[in-house]
Amino acid sequence: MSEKKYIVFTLNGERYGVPVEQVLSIEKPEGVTPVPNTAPFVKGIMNLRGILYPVIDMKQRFGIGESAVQKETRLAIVQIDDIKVAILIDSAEDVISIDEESIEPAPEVAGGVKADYIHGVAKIDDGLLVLLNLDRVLRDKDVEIVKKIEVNER
Amino acid sequence: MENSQYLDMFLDESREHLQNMNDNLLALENSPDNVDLVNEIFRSAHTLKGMSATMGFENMADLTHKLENILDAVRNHQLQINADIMDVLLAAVDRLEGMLENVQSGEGDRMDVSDIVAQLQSVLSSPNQGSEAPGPAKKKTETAEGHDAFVQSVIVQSLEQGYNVFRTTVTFDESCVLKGARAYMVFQIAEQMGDIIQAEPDVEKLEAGEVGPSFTITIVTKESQEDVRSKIMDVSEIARVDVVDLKTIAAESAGGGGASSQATDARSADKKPQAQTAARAKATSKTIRVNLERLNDLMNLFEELVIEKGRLEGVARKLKDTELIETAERIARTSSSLQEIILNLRMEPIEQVFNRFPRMVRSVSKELNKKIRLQIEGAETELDRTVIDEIGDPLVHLLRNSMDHGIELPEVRRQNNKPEEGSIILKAYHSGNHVFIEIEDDGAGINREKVLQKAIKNGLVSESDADKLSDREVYQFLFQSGFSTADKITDISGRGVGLDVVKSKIESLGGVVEVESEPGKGTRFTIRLPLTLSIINAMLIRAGGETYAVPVTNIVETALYKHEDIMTAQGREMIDFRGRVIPFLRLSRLFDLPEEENKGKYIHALVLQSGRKTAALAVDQLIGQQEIVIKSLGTYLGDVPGISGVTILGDGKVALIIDCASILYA
Repeated sequence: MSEKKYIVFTLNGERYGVPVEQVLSIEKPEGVTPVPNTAPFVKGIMNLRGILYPVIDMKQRFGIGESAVQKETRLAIVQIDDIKVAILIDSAEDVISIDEESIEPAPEVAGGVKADYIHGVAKIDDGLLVLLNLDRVLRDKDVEIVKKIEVNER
Repeated sequence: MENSQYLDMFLDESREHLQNMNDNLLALENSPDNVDLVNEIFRSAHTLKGMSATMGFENMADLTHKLENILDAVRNHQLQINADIMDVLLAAVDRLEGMLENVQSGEGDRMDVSDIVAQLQSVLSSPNQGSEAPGPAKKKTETAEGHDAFVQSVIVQSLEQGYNVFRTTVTFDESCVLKGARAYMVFQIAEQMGDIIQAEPDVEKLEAGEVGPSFTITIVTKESQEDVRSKIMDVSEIARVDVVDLKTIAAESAGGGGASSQATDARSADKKPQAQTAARAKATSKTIRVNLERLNDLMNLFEELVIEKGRLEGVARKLKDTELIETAERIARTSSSLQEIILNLRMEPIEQVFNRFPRMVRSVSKELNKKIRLQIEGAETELDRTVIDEIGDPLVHLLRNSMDHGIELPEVRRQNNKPEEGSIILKAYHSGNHVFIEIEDDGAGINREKVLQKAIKNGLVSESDADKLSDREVYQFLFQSGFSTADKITDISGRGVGLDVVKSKIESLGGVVEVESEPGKGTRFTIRLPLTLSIINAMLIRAGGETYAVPVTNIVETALYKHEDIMTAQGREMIDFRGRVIPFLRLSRLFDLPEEENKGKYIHALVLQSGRKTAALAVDQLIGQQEIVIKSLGTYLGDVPGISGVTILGDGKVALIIDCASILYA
């Protein structure tokens, strides 16, 4: 039985989890500078203790709406290898331990998020937790395509 | 792999030696009788052989050894340098370079060199050479004329001055594997005690590990006989040390101690250890090799400091506290001195890039059957390390281009009353905040008409506009992608091969490339690069509620325009700038920002220039000039059109740096 810790946050009321080691910190969304000529889900870029993080609206990235910055809105600062980004989340909830064996394979669509982006689904006390495969989300070629189109249009 | 920690050093130093061999070989080609050059090449080859053998790269050591044999024969006048020998020597150096590259990429030094070895061998056995094998033969001839006397006189003199002279025979333990290394350690100890005036076998052989069961050195020292013995005995795997005091036998003949019959080149035995120590001293005290990563760390920390400095200045201004303001000013001064030093640390002479070009020009001109002389000026000009690493390829492109399409064939040149030998001048120099690199040839020049026709055909310009273009504007077409690759048959338009690559590379370094040409007289490419890459002077402006930075180098002037000054032509806003009509761009529209209602009478604008283009850029507000640290947008965002990077302002907010080239050429 191997347990792994996940950070739980919400998007549109649905709960998502990412491994703790991928999340550096949770911050308030302040001082975001918009960057033109980028994909719509790139909300801008921010400085956090001397390091720059592009700010990504996960809802727009997944095509499940758009984030409006409210009191509860937070940024999850994420680092995967050389990719450092800040992800807009509706609220940060908890850190929980999940038994690897209890993770079920991803259903076709979970909460509107493409199965490709999902590592699996875990049952927790009062419902389901969708575990994201951030590596895939952040490296997906979609992003490249979006960028290319924009460049070509100019 | 205990050697791995030395690998970097080995690579660096080997590269230097190979470069040295290359340079001197080329020089030798022009003055084949210069024995000094041969000696110089021999020394480099020799050191290289020793180093590669020590590192366990036997193939490299072996090939270098073969190379050495030829050099040896040359310096003993058994072999006369000619073009064929030059080719083989240069080819061998090429192979060594190749091996070194393989070593660097972790593949070891294995490489099939049988062909080159055969060539080297055949050079040696060619009739041009004396009958004896060159190695041992030379030393006898060279030393016969009185170096024995030299050693002798040194011994006599040392004894007169109260030094002890010991002839020390060191016998290795039978089990000793690394005899070369042990011999080296003995040498080091001996050098600490005094001077080694002679060695048998000679130092070169010892270093290369060609050691028999024992060797003999003659030491001049203040130490006692017993001390010399015991200190050398301390080296492990040594069975016996016999120390003979030459004083006792000096009466008979000072040289009897061993100088008379030995085939040693005393001069070299005397000089070598010194040269060695000199090299070591250079490595430890004069310069140190620093990992570029550490310099980058230093630079990053310094950048942080610059940001904090900006913040401090802001606070000081706000609080209007005199003492604080003064402190902030002092910090600003110190940090700008610091900046200069740090940037200088990253500077290296462009020589290391230029160095490889004589070889390249030599081989390409042979290929093309052209006679070309390359003249290099300003090789000492220093550039940021990052630029040095990147600038090589574009320069190769431009040089090849000049050789291939610029310089004419000898017979054509003769017909045109030009000297048969074409010349290419490669020049680097500093001017203001920029480094200039020029490549100038005295070839055929660019045919404006052909370029124009091609541009019209490619739809880059309309026929009616074509005549209005200045020569410079026409030549810029050469840098368009795919401009001339499609049409290589014409003699001039080949001049576009890869030039677009050159241009984009140089622009990625923040530079520009221009071309001037005079038909029949020649062509000159000028590359202009910024001195530093990471800290620039910028004008901060505001638009759409955000702050942006515009590099000062792109700003011609700041201007105020009235709304009615703006004209519209073909749906584009234009403005009159000193009699020229230039585009009038609005940052808010370019970047899709919320437009602020401009109730004022005037519009703030910056007149920007990049390359040949000029345009006015309307902004909401000008804030002022400031030194900013350029940071990249990061891997996730990559390149964003219109933005060359970002900077962190004094208040911690991020400001985008506007990429003037991309908005002006958009």
